[in-house]
Amino acid sequence: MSRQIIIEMRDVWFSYREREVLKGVNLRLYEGENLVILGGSGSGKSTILRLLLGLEKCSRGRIYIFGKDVTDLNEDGWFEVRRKIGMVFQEGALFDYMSVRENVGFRLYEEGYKEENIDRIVREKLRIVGLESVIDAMPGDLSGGMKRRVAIARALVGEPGVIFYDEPTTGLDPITARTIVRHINMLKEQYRVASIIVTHELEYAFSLADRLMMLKDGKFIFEGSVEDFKRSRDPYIVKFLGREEMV
Amino acid sequence: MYLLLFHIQNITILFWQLLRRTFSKPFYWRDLLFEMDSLGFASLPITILTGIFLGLVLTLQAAIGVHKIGAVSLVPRAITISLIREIGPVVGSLMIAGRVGSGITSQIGSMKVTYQLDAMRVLGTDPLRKLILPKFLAITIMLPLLIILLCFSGLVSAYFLASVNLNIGAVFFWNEVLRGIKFLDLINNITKSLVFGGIIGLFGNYFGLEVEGGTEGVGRATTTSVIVIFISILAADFILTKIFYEILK
Ligand SMILES: Nc1ncnc2c1ncn2[C@@H]1O[C@H](COP(=O)(O)OP(=O)(O)OP(=O)(O)O)[C@@H](O)[C@H]1O
Ligand SMILES: [Mg+2]
Repeated sequence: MSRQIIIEMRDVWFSYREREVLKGVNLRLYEGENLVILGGSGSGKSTILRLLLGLEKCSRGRIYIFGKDVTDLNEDGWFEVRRKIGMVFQEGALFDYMSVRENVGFRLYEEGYKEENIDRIVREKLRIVGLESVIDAMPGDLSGGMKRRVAIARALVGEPGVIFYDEPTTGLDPITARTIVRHINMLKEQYRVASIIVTHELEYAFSLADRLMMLKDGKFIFEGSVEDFKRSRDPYIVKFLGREEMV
Repeated sequence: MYLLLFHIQNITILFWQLLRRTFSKPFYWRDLLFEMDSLGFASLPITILTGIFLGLVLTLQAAIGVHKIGAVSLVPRAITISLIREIGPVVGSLMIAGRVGSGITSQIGSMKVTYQLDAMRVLGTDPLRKLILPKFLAITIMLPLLIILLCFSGLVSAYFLASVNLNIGAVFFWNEVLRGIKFLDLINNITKSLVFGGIIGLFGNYFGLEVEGGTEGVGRATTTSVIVIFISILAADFILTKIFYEILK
């Protein structure tokens, strides 16, 4: 099995002011896979995604995206790289003063597409997440789950090869959360999109993951399949599993 | 003290970044017009009301001062000069800063803490160009226009009070006003409101971009932003008045 690596982090360090958040992170994402990053609050999960989008710069280490070393790119260089990446932020991060149409079509408006083409593409992406009917609504009128789905639709514009999800199910009721999980899995199967999904919710992590990684104290302490994870003897992982079951 | 220098440095950097983006493509004309409407035209009511009351108060003050020595005829000119040189731009800018400065900080701040600014960068658009610059330019351009309107509405209300209370006729009043307005006073007026508008736009945006710590952070930043803008406007007024005083001398 020689699948291609599309994203790689090598010994990446990062700190906010004096606080060391990441201390030597290694990560690989292969094409067409769902990689789930697990970790407690404040362990640096979101920071990893921010580094992979060029929203933060690492203090040490190298980052490769689609085979290209992006570690030292400037903002203009990153604009180029980000075109091929979709991002679904925590809570969606929809532009709250724009309609769903303008949100999903944002890139297309910016790139000067014709109105009818924008309409066609926006509808197509909204259909994938089952929300074509809300095209003229404002984000404020949508439920939490609908916002995430619109955010997924927005990330799909530009046909990205990889999508990042930051806590896609957090704060949603179980039924809505499972809908989101289904959409993410469907994107992998039908469109062969690779994903990195950051979460601390085990149930959804297990139904999403082809591979799991566990972040603790700025390092990955586990990498492997869901089965291996469940069987792990690592005290922290045992605790993580146990605590979740009690909730 | 160290923190103050840190902020000054950051604000200077922001100003420089905005300046560079003003003269390079892409420039968001539509967003600029939109902001001129929502920051400028929407401030019309507050501007005109402020002007009316300033005019009334100034007339009363002038009347009290001048009545004793029987120089009622000096009233129109006194009002004109203080309104145009000083009171109009300063009080008007403070009022508008309360609305516009806080509005900019809270909008940009909440977009920052909900990651909308990051989302925009990820989608390939520079938020400094699309959001910050149009707001900065819009209020810088619109404030001088608003202040001139404020001065005018102040003069109108002053005229009404003066004609009722002091028996000053329309022809005399407006003649005195026109003679009271010196070219340099107009330059003074416009320069001040340009600078104050720039202060509102720059600091309002800056404190929005600096927000940290969720929704609470936005509230705190908005308060800070308004206070800093107020004090900076007063400080800038002192400096500009000094400069114009030196020129006039
Ligand atoms: N803007 C910031 N300023 C200072 N420290 C920050 C900032 N953002 C994050 N941090 C710190 O970096 C650490 C990692 O943050 P990050 O958001 O990556 O964690 P996370 O694993 O995504 O947590 P959560 O589950 O709460 O989203 C946190 O402990 C936090 O204290
Ligand atoms: Mg996070």
